[in-house]
Amino acid sequence: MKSFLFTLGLKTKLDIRSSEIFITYYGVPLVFFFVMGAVFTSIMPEAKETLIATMTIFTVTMGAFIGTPSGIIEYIGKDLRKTFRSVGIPMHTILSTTVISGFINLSIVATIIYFTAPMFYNAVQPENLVSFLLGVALFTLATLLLGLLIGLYGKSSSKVTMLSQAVFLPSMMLSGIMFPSEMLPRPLEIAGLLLPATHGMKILSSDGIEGVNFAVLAGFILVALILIGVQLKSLETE
Amino acid sequence: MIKVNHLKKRYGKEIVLKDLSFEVRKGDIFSLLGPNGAGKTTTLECMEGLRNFDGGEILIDGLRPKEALKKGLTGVQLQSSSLPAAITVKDAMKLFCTWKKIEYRGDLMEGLGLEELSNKKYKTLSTGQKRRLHLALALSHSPEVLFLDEPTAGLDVEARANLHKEIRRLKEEGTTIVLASHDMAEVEALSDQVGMIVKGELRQLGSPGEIVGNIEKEEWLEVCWRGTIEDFPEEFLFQWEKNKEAYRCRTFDKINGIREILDFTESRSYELLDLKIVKPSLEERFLELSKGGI
Repeated sequence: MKSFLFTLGLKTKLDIRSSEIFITYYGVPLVFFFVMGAVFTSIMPEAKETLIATMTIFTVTMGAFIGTPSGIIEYIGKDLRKTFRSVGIPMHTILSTTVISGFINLSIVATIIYFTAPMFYNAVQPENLVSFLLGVALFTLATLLLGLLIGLYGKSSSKVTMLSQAVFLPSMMLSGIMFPSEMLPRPLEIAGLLLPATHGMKILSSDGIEGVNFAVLAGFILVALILIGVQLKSLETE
Repeated sequence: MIKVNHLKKRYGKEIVLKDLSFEVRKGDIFSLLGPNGAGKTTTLECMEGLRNFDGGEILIDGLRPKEALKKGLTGVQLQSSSLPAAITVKDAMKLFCTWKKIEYRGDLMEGLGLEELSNKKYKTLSTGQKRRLHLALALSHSPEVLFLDEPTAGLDVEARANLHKEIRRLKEEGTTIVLASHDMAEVEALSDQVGMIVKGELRQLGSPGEIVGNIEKEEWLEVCWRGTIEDFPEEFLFQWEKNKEAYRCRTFDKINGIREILDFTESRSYELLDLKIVKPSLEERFLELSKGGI
């Protein structure tokens, strides 16, 4: 346990030290929040109602789909894996600390958004805080696991970049964070349901308990865990 | 200390290790010597417990390699080791010590000249500094057996000499060292025992002296004449090879060989500049084996 906690602390520190991860976890989301928050609330005053939700979804999607996959490539490289194996650091520790570190870093940004959005833009905080926090946690976990999957299956930087963009851009356009998903053509609205961001947005922008969306996010987590398990097995026996 | 019996390994259809058997004595430096692709790294990785093998057995102090690695009996410096780019030297040592469940090895950091680099990130280290760090990490838990794969590859002369000094010091402390290298001078200078691997087969096994001595009846005569010699007689006792400005020949009878050279020189009125008897070095032996000879 001591070794795991040390590795987790170190991984979190290394993630912050890594310029690429720092930019995708902190830099771009916070700049986007401060700039676009002002734009959104200025041209659409009703955006104040959903500003915290949309900015949180953007932050998590950006960090998990763009930052996490490129970050994990370094750790699944053959030489580093062998070095870690020679000292007895299991691959599942590397993967789990990556997810937990991502969770910690993205939660910090989500917290900054939660508390500063009302101060700067008069954004409305969610009425049902428990549902909101649970939603953020579940959505962050699902998205991070999918991001990890992209890194594990993509393996090379070029493939990972393509796969990341293939999930990130639709998440921005179809999930309802830019405009309500009901305004989309029906096929695109249905396609949006395949993305965790859509369900995350529904949970975070609702005052009630979104049971179905919680279940869908749990489903994403389950599928991602199974696929990560398969890839982990293959990496460990390689 | 280490017993390797009938080790076999294949990658797909390609057989890379063909029935290797050898033993390493406690406290010895054992070198696996061979050209690139001979199977040195694969052999070493099987011994380290980092690679599964298809046949045979490896025992390290009676334990299988994976158990030996888990129990901390062995330490490993890989040929191409790596660490996260942003990790500092100090954090790397802390990470390894935490997983080995030992105290931070500041003494080792100091001993290997890493203390002043402790806050430097891995990506900013030179090749030599990285090698020293990986050696320190491999030694962190004071293993009884140390595996070193091409330990001096990419190092400058000074760094190489320092590393050799460190390897000798470890041997004096009683560490059994198994190293893979294709650097003959390194192997000849450091090893107690040498195993020459060519195409997955162990072609020679013994001390550097024994390996060279296997051809002790065979000696080389190195001859140098002024100008170019074009008319070597076919019936000549020797097999001639041009080596830079001199000519080399292999002989099992040096007295007759010298006589033949002198007769040949006199009959052709050539000017003899130099004639000497040369003992084949490990390098020459190695080159001979890698060409498929003997």
